Amino acid sequence: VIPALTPAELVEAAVRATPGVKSLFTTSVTDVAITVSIGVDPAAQAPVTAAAVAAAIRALAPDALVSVRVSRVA
Amino acid sequence: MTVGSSGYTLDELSDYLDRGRQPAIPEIDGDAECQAVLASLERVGSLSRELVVRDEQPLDESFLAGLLGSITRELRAGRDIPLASSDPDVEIAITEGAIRELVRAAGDSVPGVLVGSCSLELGEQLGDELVVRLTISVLLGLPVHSAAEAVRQRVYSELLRHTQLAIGPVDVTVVDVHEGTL
Repeated sequence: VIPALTPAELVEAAVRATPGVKSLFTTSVTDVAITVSIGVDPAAQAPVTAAAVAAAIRALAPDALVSVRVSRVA
Repeated sequence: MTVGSSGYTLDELSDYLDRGRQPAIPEIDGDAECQAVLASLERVGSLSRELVVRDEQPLDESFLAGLLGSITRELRAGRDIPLASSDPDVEIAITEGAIRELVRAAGDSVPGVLVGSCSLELGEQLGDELVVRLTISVLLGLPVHSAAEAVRQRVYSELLRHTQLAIGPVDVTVVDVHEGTL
């Protein structure tokens, strides 16, 4: 039996799979909002990576309010 | 004073680095501010070790103490600087601490340069002009003007790449020299 992923784990997997993301610091998932704090690879571009992360989360939860915070570029 | 939300002090972070980050402490490894401080400590440590290996005079202790104090103060997350989003249900931002770390790392990446302090002046709105002020120490013998200009250009380029800020002056002041081999 493969245990189902929790919503937070699904979000974390989507964030980590986004190109340019180097680390994931915090994840918060509520009924209405999803907030993540990420570290971005310096070889990428922070605004582009953050927007891609937001899009990946929106694909999972189209009705959620999404907040993506870039906490490091290193 | 503890760093970020880790509950660990600068001295404890320094010890953790000296132990090769073992055993792993999740509160430190998962905290952006701690990681920024550790990265800065590593860059300073690397330069100090290089000077010792070359049998050169080590970095001045008072300069080092001031530098570590600056790093701890500056790399706090600070406020969120908004990044543009076309979706009204999406907010994206970069922290002031992330921008400071970016600036500091860009300066430190110039050979022979060590950033001392880094100050950012920024308004409240997207599009407001960012003013950056840096102090640096330059390797003795390195042309000071060229080093400062290289720092300025690298900082400008990194800010352009990773923020959407209107970048104003990047002022670089050379406040010290350190010995070493070119």
